[in-house]
Amino acid sequence: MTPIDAQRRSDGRLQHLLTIRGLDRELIQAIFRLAEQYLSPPGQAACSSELLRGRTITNLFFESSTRTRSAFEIAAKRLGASVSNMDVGSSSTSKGETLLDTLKTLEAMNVDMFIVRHGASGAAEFIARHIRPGVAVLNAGDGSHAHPTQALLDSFTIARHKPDFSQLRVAIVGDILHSRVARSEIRALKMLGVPDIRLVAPRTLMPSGIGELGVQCFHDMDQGIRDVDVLIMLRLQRERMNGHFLPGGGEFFARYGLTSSRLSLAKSDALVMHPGPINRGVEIESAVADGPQSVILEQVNHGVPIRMAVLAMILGEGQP
Amino acid sequence: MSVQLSGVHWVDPASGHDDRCDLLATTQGLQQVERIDPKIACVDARSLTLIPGFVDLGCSLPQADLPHGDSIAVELRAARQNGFDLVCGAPDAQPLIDSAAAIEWIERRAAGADGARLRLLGALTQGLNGTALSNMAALKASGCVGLAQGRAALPAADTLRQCLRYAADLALRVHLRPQWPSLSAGCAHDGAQASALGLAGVPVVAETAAVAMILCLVRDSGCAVHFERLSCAASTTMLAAAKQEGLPVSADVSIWNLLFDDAAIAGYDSQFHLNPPLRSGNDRQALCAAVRNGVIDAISADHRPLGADAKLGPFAETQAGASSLDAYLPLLLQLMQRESLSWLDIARLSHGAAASLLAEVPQRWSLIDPAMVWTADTEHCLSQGQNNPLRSQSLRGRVAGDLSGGELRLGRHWQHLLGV
Repeated sequence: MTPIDAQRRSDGRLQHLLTIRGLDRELIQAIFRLAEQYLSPPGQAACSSELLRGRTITNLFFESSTRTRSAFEIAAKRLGASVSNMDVGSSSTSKGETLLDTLKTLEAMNVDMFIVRHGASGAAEFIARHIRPGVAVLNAGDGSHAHPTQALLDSFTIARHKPDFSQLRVAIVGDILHSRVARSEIRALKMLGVPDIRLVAPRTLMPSGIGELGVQCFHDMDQGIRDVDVLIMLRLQRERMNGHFLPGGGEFFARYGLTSSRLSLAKSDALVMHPGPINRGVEIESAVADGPQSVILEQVNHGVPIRMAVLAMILGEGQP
Repeated sequence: MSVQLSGVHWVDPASGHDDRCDLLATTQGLQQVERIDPKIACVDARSLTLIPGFVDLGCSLPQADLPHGDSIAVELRAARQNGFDLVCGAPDAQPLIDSAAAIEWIERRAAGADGARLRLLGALTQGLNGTALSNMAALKASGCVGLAQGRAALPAADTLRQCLRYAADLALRVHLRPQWPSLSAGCAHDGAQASALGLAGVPVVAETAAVAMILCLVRDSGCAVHFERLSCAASTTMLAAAKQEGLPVSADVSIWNLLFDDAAIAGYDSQFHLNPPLRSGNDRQALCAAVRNGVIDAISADHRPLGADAKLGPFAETQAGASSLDAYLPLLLQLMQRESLSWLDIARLSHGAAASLLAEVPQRWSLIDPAMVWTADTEHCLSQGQNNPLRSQSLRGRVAGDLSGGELRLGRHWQHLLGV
């Protein structure tokens, strides 16, 4: 059984969350329903429980991340769990200890779950394959492969505005090649029944053969975003770019930046989304990022309840 | 010394023989006999097939400086016991095969191995650094049968041109992995599978651009070039045209690329992290066609024994390569069945073409039990490599022994089975 197959127990409950692949629409919708219970608008008292009291969760982040790590930490603490953060920069891993040895050392400390972010695609599955049975693994992003909780919170955000996925056109725009968010978004949206998913990127940032995931590929942004209901903008992941992908001098913004003018090509009530962090003036202009169609801050707000829902499902007794 | 094999399925490419017969083996060679001579030792070989020992044009030698310094000997014995008569050691060994001293060091360790014969490919450039020609004449004088870059990067075009011109003067064949260095940064075939997995892909053009460039240099220099481990359909088309033109070129393909495609890495199985990568199903089919019609001359095991740690990590962070000696025969038999190849085809692809390129005559014949089922676990695998992609699987086909100069050596299992 592969780690993806092992994401769910025999009774269908979540055991790990490594990738959207292997989930199904019913489970995603169950996550949404649970997240609704944990959702609290900004400024209001946060929902909390003692569901995970006595559980220990370790954030194992090999790539720097303030937002995602904080969101997981908050989510875990709101459920009553103890949280430790593994700072890889000062850990033995930076001294040459292998990933596996790091894991085995931490495993010996009786951790219930590792939340892992790693620069290599497949790292979360590798960890899940080698971890002691009974220890859960949650993928917080592995290389360019997957970022399932981001896809879940983005889909949750869409659902709260446009609940009928079967009628939607969604465009994902930008650095598709290096984006784990894009791959997870595609799978989640397809699973939820979105019939028209479009990827918009220059050829140099479009993965080979990605059309086989059931998406349309556009190199012309104006064509790609015409009449869409949702635009998900992605930043250029220069930290993952080895080699030459784009000219300099603002040409990317000229061809693919989301401006107010371009936004008018989409439907008038189209949602503007971005998994963050945004680079103003590179993939999106401020007027759009801060404009009335933007739900970027809602996405941030949804990050904690979605993660609470996932943690509750994996580690909580009596959860679906 | 002599021995008889009764009822053996004898595959002899030299005569075209591919049938059961009674065979007499002496120091003079093999000959079919009409009846068994009761005065000469005889083995009931009705369940066995006798084929020329495999000849492999590219085998990575294990690190020669390991604490158990007999790794080379162990791998050569494993090669022999898996049916290999001769293997060519790639130059990116430890020590690098770029000096007479290194050659002598390696050959001394190989000499007492009682394993497969070893021939060495010398470094094409000094230190395999791609910038300076190696002392090719000295390497030839020390016994190198050709020159290569191993897994090191192809030299730039101007240097490679000079290398080929110089090698041509010495009538040395140059073995090259056609991988354009700046296009080859990746760990999987650049296609839908790698894209879905988020793995950096190596596009087909990384190989075809190199093939095209090398063919131009072959025309320019007249140097004989052997393309190592072709992996894509487009390369086979270019190679066919080059052969049609009469260029002195040849090629091999890894057994893994003939039987697997990039679907094998769907679960990030690092055992299938190979170089060249497993490509698309279409590429695999084209490679099989090229093997059938002779455009590709030989099938290599592309053996690269690695320790267990080499594959323990996220896919892109593991080392590429497979321990292939133990899997080679079972995979050849699978290929034979899947692609409707004859035993004579198998003999050509696993022995004949490669031996011809090296101007070698067979010294050892492999006695094969094609029906034997065995498990590729640590106990039964002979190579020290821990990176056999078929580990723990049940495989069909095993080498029962070998025949050389009238002397038959059988594995213990077959000694019991045949009452020898």
